Amino acid sequence: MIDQYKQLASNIVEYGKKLGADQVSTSLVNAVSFQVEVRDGQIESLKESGSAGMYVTLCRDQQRSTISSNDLRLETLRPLMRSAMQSLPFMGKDPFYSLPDPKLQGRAEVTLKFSDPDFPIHQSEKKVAMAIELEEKTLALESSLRSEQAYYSDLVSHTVHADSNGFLDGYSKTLYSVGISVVTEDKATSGLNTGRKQTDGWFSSARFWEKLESLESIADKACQRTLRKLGAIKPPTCEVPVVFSAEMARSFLASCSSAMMGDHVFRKQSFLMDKLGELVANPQIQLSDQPLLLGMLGSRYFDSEGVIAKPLTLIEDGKLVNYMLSTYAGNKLKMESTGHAGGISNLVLEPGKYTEEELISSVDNGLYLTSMSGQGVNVTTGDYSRGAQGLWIRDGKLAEPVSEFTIASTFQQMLHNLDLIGCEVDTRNPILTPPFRINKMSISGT
Amino acid sequence: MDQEEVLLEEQETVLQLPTGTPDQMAKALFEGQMGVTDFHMHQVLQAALCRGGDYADLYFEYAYRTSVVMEESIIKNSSISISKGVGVRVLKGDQTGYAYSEDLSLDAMQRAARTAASIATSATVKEHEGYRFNRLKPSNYYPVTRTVTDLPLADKITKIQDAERAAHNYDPRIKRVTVSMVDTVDIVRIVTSDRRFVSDVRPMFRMNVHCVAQEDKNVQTGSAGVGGRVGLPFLEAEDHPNQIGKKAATEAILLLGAEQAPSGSMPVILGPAQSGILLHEAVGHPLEADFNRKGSSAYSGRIGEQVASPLCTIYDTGTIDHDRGALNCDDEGFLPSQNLLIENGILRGYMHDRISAAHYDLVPTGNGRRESYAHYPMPRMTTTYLANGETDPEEILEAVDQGIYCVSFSGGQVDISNGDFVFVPTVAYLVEKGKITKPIKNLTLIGNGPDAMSRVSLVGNDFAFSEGIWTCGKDGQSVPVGVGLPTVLISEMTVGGM
Repeated sequence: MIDQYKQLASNIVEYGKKLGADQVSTSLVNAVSFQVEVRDGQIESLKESGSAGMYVTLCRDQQRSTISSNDLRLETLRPLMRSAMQSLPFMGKDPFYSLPDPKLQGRAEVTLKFSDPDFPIHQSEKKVAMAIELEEKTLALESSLRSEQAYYSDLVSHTVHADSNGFLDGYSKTLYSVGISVVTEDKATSGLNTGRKQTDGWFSSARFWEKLESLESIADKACQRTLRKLGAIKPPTCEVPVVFSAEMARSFLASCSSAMMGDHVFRKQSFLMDKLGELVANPQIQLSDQPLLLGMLGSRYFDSEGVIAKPLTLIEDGKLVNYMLSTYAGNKLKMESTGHAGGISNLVLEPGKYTEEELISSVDNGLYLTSMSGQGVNVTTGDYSRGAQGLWIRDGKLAEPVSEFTIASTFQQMLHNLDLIGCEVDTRNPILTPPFRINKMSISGT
Repeated sequence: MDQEEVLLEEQETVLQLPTGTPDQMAKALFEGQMGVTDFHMHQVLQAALCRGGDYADLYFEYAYRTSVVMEESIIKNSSISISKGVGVRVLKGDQTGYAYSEDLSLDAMQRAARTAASIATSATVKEHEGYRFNRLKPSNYYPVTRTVTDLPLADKITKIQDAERAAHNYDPRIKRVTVSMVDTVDIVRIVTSDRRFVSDVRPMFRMNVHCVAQEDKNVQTGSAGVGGRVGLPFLEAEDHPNQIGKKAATEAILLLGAEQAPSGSMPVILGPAQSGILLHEAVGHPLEADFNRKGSSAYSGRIGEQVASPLCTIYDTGTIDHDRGALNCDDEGFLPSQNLLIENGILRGYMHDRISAAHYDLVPTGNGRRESYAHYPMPRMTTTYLANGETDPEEILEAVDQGIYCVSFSGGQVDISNGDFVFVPTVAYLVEKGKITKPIKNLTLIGNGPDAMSRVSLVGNDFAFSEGIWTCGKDGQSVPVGVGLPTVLISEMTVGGM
């Protein structure tokens, strides 16, 4: 597949040059996925798909046009590319657009292992059985639980990138996920919400089959996480320390990382613009982007422009030391690409020494945060206001569940107030972070 | 690619979109240009039912999307994107088998059909010989003969420049303006094993302005958009570019002077139109029948019960002319209707797709929607609105001593099971002694569906639909939706500021 796509990619680049483009780049993606959802021991849905996609950017004399298509036949691509060329004279000249410096392009000289050679041997029957077994195991733990759905999904994808600098490379990736969500009846203490329920779940995801978490462990977490929400009350309006679970820490860092992306910075849409070299966070914080970690979900050899991937320190002892830059953002900011076209690879917050239990026991009166909702995240201004759910912490111990309240602060204050870092890292996504404590946030409840 | 001679003078466009009624256009495209005949469709449906499925449907789609973006006064990019394919769905009871193919050759479609068929393993296979398709001719709620896609690039650029100029002219503190114009023509054809056969041509236009305002170290953003299932007459009728350019700039400048929002429980006035987001989150999602079929919604099994204040009557419908949520037929081929969800506070019905309607033994309500051929349908909202009330909006304002007034929103989210929802204002003000006073920022509103709706204490007589800018996400699928609402007072709600 990769070889076939490489051939097509280099043909596209050649054709673009022939049409008169002075810079051409293209990415081709092919993905085959399988997904089954089960409920009450039966298949609810089963979906298999194979899809293709092609993206081409054509540039002549600083004028640029792009096309995309899921129809990769030459008779479709050729007229599309011709039509893109015809639109070029209408485009403004953008002196900052260019392909990467060829010296920065290439493949990192490591072996990352993100494709499971055993991918083809797993049969559909086994995958369905796995989801059913996960559901059985979870429901067996607690009779009041009902299944919303248990699922298994996998994906194998092939990506090729080529450009008129002569870059041509590709890779294949595999991904497996298995998970469940369950629901249980709850009671509202007052009001019209007499049908209140609580739902939660857990999942595991990995590039290799054998790295998936055991079904017993997934079932156990899904069950505990749902039951602990029962009887949630609205907390008082106050200011308290908040312990972010690893998942919530991930959500917070994902937003932070977008403020470090070059395109946000040159667009003045980042609370971290003009802050290089300044103390922006608690001096304990070490944050970096690590593309070359073995087996992690965000690992890569090169970015989406073919710029070679290498580790990059972002925050060192609380000081902002680098932005993440694509070639375009680099040109705008008069810096070199850091290999971040297409975003982060693995964003790593260096773990501290505290277990999650120790983080919780450090708080006399505060919140253990397990869920956030809503769009109240503004990386331009740094404003942060989210709907929240969690468990109250009283005298260092988890007490009653809380819901229907908000937490608010600003990124600037939260980064400074992030004063205790945990040690247990969640590896189910490309943001590798332990739980942490932010010593003061506003809670708005009753 | 071979060594073909390239002639730029050819002036070839990618594909001439056919013209005519939706059915003629779909026929010219799928049958004329892509060679998918009625006979092929029979054969694919046959393959889909080869393992004993109860029902099968095919969803053909061809989407042609053009976009132009201006940033820093430079037309940065224009793009064209084409997406086509067929989704094959097989149902066996409540179970769904799904596969799709981007290749519309008979072989490839039959392969997808056999994959989807594997959901069923029944010994008895019904013979489906010689279907005669029942060709539906739905009403057209968005007849568009001239689409924005037809507008020459140079003219699009003029409109974009108008919007940019309006934003910059509003105030010198506007430092950056980004304008985008996106138009899609989505041609679909739905064919089912129970002989339903319907085509639709769905235009969708969206123009958006985003501004950054800066005053010393204070940076704020503002945005505004318009759109819907509209064509060129929409752009010609009013100076939308100028209006949204100014509106986005106004928002950014206003926020430069905004204070941090208060926190705690207080009365909340929702301004007309955009505040319809409240309905979408608080009652819309929890009334999608798949959640209720599975018993996971806070509203499950509560039909006939009081779930909101008697002032609330709420509908969902795909029949609002040219609205972003309008649909001539849903993505299962069912026609839209005016669905009464809540009547004077009493829960009357859910929004259904084929599976949930069969489960409840009801008629599908035209809410079976999907993002594209690559996704299977599920119950989704179209345009959700709260019917007009009787109170003068001025009186509503006067009724509030200390509270907030919300004008525009960035979006919302809901937890279906416990009913908690948030929605996030971008422009909001303090209300003091019945008067709008200072603008506020950085806030989220949180409430519980039935509780918040029971606290609707006044409903205005100034009903309006929101501009066509909303996209709803569910289970990884995005679809365009509409909302509408008059001014509403919620007597108490939690406001999350700092």
